[in-house]
Amino acid sequence: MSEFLSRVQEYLADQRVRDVLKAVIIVVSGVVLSRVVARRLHLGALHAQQNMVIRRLGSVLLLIIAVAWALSELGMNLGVVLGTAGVVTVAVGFAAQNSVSNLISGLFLMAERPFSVGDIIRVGDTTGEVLSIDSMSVKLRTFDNLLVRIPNETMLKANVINMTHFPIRRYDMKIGVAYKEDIARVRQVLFEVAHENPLCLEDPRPLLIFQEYGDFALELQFSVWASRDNYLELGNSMREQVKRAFDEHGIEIPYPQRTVHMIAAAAPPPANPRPEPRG
Amino acid sequence: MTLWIQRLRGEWRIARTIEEHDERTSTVDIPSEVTDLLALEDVSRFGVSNHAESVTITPLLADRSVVSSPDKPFYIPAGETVTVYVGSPLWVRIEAGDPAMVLAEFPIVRPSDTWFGPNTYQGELCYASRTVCRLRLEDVSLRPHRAITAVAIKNNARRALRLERMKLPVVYLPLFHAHGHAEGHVESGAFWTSDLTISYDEGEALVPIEYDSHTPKHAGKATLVAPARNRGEDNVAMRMFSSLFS
Repeated sequence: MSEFLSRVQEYLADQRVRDVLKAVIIVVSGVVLSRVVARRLHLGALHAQQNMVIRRLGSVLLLIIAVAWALSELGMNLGVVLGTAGVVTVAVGFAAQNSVSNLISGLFLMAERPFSVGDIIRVGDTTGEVLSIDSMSVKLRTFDNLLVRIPNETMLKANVINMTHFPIRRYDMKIGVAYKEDIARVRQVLFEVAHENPLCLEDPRPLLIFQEYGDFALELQFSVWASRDNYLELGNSMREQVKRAFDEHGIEIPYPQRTVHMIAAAAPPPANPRPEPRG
Repeated sequence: MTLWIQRLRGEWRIARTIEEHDERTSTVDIPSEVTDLLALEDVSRFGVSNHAESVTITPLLADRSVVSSPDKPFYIPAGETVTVYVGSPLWVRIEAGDPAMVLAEFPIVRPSDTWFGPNTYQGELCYASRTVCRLRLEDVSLRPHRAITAVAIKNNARRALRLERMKLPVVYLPLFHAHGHAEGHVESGAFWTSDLTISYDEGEALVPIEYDSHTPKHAGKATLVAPARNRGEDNVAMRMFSSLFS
């Protein structure tokens, strides 16, 4: 044991060994501290995603400081190291343009927060629930349970429709009624249906718009409001209840039809005329 | 509404059927005959380990604010104080055992949802009262499934206050059951909440509201049936009117 200790003392007497030991302690401390920051740092005023970014940036910064300090303890010229790192960064940046663009777009998305995890959004033809907002992409779950990954750069450039941002939504129904119907009576029936449906908000009031004289029906738009949680249920129940109310009141919903007028004219020529005799 | 509560070994069953949705005529019936509850559409089952057989049915106020309107908008002149009477729907809470365990809670008549706010993205989801605000107590219809609130509105502004719609924060109010007759009525046993006093000052979108847990003045002798759902401070400022000035 005493021989072991004296050997250790001999090694420690060497300056290079001491420098390496110092560098190792610095790097290990930096790694431990960066992990603590990555898990524990939380600024109450910020949103969850913003906190995540701050934690990641904080832990990476601590690691970089620890490594730079360790390298300087080993006697390396940091200027040369930084210069090399700069050149490598430029090269990597050119090669990884899209990734960097997605990363930066992600930061903008997190700062702007047009939507959050749990929101239902539509991007182009894709509609789904936001599962996660990551550094490079946003993950959606569509209603038929597919996972869609949308790069952050695309999200930043596209029109994103957040369908659950506001607490209430308007449900528009296109209804066609026969030309013979009395619009005032139709209005009364529709408003009664809305009034009886508890999911339909009393205020804002339902709205009936007479849109146009269609080819075979009077085109109406009946708009009702619901809380965003009840939107789908209201739409289904209103369509069913309007149909039932129309049936009860004898209001016709016409289907496409064409009226053909037959005009009497000269008798048509025979289908297979006999050829004229020769000579 | 017809309500069934059944006690079986290890479970409670609660079922209800709604025959009509008209708040003005609905009553709660508890029939005595036994029915196969599982055949009904709206049945809930609660598994319990105790042997308690007692059940408590308690009325209480809605779990959201209630919006009410007068039959026609009216004005409160500057400096005037007016008392309006507002009806709000009642809920029913079913508890079993000792200590009481809440099994279910639902409205006697499901009121319509409504929005109360300056626009469609700022505001609050509320219930719409199917009854109108009344200026005279004798005009108020006392129903067993509705509670009445007397709201004193003081207009401290220099201009008349137009009352078109009003939001009643029932979640902060306790519920009382009156033993005697209310003024101008022969029926007894109505439900009341604490009285509210609202002071409106010019230029203020939020109005201070005073309420307390004392027995409402117009109810006469009354017993506390249910405390407020939210025990907030006695004075709260909130947006109560949708239309402020004429």
